[in-house]
Amino acid sequence: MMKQNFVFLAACLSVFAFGSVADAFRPEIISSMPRGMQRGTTQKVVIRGVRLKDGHQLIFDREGINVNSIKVIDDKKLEVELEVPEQTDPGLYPMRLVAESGLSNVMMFGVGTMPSIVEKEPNSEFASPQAITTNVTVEGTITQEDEDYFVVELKQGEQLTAELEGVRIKKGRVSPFFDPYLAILNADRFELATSDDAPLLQQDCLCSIKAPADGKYTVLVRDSSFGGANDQYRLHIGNYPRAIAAIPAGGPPGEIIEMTFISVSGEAWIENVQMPSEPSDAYPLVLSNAQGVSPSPNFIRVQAMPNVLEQEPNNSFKESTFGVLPAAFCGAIGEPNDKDFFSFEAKKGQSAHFKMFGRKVLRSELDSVINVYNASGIRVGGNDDSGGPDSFLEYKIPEDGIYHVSINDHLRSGGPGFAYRLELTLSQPELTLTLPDRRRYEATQINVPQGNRAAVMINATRKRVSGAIDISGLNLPEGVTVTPIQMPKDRTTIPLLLSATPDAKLDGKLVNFVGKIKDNPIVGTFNQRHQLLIGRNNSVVYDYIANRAAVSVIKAKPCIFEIVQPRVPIVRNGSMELVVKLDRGGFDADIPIRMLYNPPGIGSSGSINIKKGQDEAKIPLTANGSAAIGSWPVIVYASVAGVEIASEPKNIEIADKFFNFNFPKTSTELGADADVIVEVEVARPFEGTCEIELVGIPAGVTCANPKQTIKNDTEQVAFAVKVDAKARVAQHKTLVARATITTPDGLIKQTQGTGALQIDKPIPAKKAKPAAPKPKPKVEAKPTAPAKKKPLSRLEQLRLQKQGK
Amino acid sequence: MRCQGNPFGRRGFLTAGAFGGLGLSLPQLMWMQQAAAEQKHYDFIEAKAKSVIHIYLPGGMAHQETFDPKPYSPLEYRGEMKPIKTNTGEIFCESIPKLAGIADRLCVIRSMTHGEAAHERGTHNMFTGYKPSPALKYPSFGAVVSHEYGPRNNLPPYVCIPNQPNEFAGTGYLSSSFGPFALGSDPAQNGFKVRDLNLYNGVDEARFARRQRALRAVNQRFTSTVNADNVGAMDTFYERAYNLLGSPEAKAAFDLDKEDDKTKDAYGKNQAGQRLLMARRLVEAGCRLVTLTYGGWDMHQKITDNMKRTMPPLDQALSQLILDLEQRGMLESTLVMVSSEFGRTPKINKDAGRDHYPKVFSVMLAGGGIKGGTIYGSSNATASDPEFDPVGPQDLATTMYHQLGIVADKELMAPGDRPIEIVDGGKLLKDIIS
Repeated sequence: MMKQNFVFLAACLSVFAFGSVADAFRPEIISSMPRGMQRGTTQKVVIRGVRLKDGHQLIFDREGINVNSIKVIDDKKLEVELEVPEQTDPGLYPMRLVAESGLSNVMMFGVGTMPSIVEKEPNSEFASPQAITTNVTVEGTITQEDEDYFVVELKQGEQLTAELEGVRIKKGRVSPFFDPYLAILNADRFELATSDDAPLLQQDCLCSIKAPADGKYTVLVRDSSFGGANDQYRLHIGNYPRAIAAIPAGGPPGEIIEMTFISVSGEAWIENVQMPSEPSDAYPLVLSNAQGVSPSPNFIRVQAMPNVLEQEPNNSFKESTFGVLPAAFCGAIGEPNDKDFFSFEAKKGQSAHFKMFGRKVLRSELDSVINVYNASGIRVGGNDDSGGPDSFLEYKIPEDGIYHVSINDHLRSGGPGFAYRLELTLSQPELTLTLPDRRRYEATQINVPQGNRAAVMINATRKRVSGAIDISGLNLPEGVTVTPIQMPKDRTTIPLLLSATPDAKLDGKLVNFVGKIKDNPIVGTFNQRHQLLIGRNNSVVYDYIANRAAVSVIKAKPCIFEIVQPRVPIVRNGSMELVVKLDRGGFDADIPIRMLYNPPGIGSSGSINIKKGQDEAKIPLTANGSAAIGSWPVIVYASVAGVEIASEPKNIEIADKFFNFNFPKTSTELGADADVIVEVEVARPFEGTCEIELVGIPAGVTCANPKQTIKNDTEQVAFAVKVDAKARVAQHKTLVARATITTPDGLIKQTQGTGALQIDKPIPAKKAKPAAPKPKPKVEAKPTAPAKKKPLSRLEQLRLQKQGK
Repeated sequence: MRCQGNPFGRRGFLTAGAFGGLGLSLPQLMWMQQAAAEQKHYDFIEAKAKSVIHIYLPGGMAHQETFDPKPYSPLEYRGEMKPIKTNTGEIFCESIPKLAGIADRLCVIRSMTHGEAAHERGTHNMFTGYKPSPALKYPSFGAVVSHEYGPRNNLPPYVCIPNQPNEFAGTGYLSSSFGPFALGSDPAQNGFKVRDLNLYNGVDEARFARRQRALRAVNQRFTSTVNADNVGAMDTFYERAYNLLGSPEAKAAFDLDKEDDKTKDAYGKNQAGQRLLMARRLVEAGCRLVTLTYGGWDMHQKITDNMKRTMPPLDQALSQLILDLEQRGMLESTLVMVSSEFGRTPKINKDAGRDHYPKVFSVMLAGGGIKGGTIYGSSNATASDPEFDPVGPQDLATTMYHQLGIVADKELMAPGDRPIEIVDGGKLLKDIIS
């Protein structure tokens, strides 16, 4: 670790800059010292961040770490005492801070099995390494261009494995981010093994050697491009078991599965593994033997479907390994150019659902490609990357029979670590709920103010299932309730409103949101993506998918908002103002308010403030021509001293338009009068009175009477306009008719354009035509003329002109 | 610039051959005559504008929130800002009230269009009048004006405030001697001083003259043995720099302290105000084309807030510039052009901003023989397409050059002896010139 304070300062600035953009009120945790602990120990950990001063609780997404105490040092530092029981599995534990002002971001905290030691400088030269014993976890830091050398003594044949957490314990938007590199060198400084990115560990690294002779071996850690800005890492050095693949990678709940594990050096061994009793999308399986415990788990799938293991030879559709669906086809692309075939039977009309797990969950070296063939070996479908970068395919079975599916690597690579698990099901329904990010790159956290409300949007994905979804929350903090708002069957998003009682305890919980469809046994799963590390071009380097959402009860000003229920609908092409009332509860400052979401086709103003001293504001809404007709629950939320407070939902009605306006083109000349005609087609009769106003009248054109009353039987309206001699000669396609229906319940407004007014220069008077009628004005209808006379279109005017009338 | 190995151009060779008595056959002669006839000849056109102030708003200024509001479209299109009437009865956005008050001096083109939604490509279009080409680097407006007219009153013909704003504001295929003179620092900063305008500390006139002589002696030997464009260009640069350094009047043009506080306040003591004031001083003194940039207009988020923050200084400075030029009797001879690489999307995005949109956007012109109170072309009801009279960058460039008395169709010689039009295929916007 080199002493370069300016680098540290730059690193802090970059991280803090991200924090301030993300949210200026809620706590943000940035790092900890140390970044992990040995299980079976209790230790004080310092957590650094911003806005930490009212932090009172730490929650971990996985069980296994107990928080004994939290002590606030200052706004940027907390000291917590953590206890990790001996039986806790090693690996990464997502951690969040709960403060009175809300929930923080997620950050990973490591748990290991080996004793921790701290890196000690000077160790930046091969000649002056830090001497360590094996089977330790080193807590280290890489500064710019820093190299850390650790030397161990090994006997011939002894295994030395080095696994590093660097990328996975960072957070934020950092460019360039710390991309660690590992090497194991012999006494002559030759590299025996190196690793930049290990598929199992994303952009972290893993390498291993078997000592060729007794002697000293050096482990080198640095940034892959000699960067580094006080980047922390945890390096696990030892002779523990380290599998990079498990085959089959999973099994049905409760069963004992015989699994083949492949080590980082390519050796295989077999173990019987007890599957947990509950299904799991990614179950962390920790391997141990007499030498030690793997520092991080291998993830496997626990799903209610039998495993079908590949039976070599299975390199063509004639040698397919057969399985009955649903099944998990498991195996490995064992060598370059290998291609594994499986077969299954399906009936016409069934939907075969191919879901590959290679790089995802398993973190295998395989970049899969799948192809589907019919019984004759003719390819009928396939996919490369739809599961990103795993393959995903839905295939509608065209006729009864046997089908084959092949699996290979995208680059036709192969090796013992190229394990796969292809889950193939028939017509299984799926329902998934997700919590979309409120702000870019920032996972939504739900903070419910005491005695008040919070609201977020929740999304649903339905596959082979339809129907309205009822959403409920399990394990909510005490005093918090979810107001059920049903998600209509044709919608994929709906507001979720949570309320807290005034005496609800300040507490944070991880909540399961469950979606159910009436009369359907399917239970929706929930997930939320946390983008932990974002690199260049905003690419997500490391993310974490949580299956629960964090909900906390927070302190807030006692401001209560209410939407005044509109009593008239907003119509397509229409507009309205949504009135929001406020009980300030003693808080006197400007309060920005906005809609939580806009129903489809609705636009709303996003920068409305309830001004200081006022207790009401109006949010303008417009509906476009294809706004979704129906009743929509809308919620307004306000930012009160940085805390978001939601209103009760109120339904607004979106209705079809009342009128179709048509604008025959109007042509006139400078200095002349004209009638702008608006043809009115009453699409559905209105009640009350209606006035049509002509707006968008171009400069230099005036209309003495731009508002006219219409009835349900009105067919057209004529607006007499006067064109100034200096008006702009052009076609002005700016005319818009705005109808306002006055009903006892309120105003309904509909606006529709666009009509054109052509203004030309007058044609010079013809020379020798004595009997010619007066050049212009006669054609135009005067405003005082009887209204019953139908105004003439330009074509009709020209016809009359030709006839000399 | 010519290829160094060949002293003749393609056409030059033909002419030389003809007079050299090579015994051409009749078809060859006919072909040669035709080739000669292809060379373009132009009538002199009168320059209405003596100089140009090109105000470039990098990032892509939203047309909806400035010169082309759509107050009757749905909120997600029209945005949150309101329209205001101009003094000609047209409507602008409320973001530019001062410009709206002098709209009778302005020409707004509401139907600018090109298809390039990337910043650098849009910028290229709006600085050269050409689409980017992998085969050729085109010269910027300033470089062409510099090439056509050269310096005036010992002042650089093409000046950038504060710096050359982008790579496309350079000389392209023209010699680098037509490049811009950059101030090197922002006029709005305290203690602003134009870089390289004064003798280095401790160097007096006599010492400087000695240094000049020494340099000339070294250069003479060098230039006699090396024949390259950049060597010649360097000489031209030095000559011009010496002229500038030796001319107190020219140097004074760069001295903002010569302006009183009242004037500075009228323009606004901020980035926009002081840059525009500097531009006015420079064209008044003799610069032919001044390019300046102001602000960041790439408003992908919170466009209302950003516009309210960014636009007022420009509104004030720009309207003051036009009134100031008018008062000094310079407006008719100074073309003010406000442009940006593109406009912004018709619909407000989920971050309350607008994204890149090159299909239709607005450009403002004033003075220099441009008809005031003009609105040229229009966009459609949602500001998503040109409705009438679409104008491409080539048309805008052609019109600007025309006002300066430059025929945009004229060919300049590009590397490889390729004659390239200053602007290819642009049409003159006759309706906007008086």
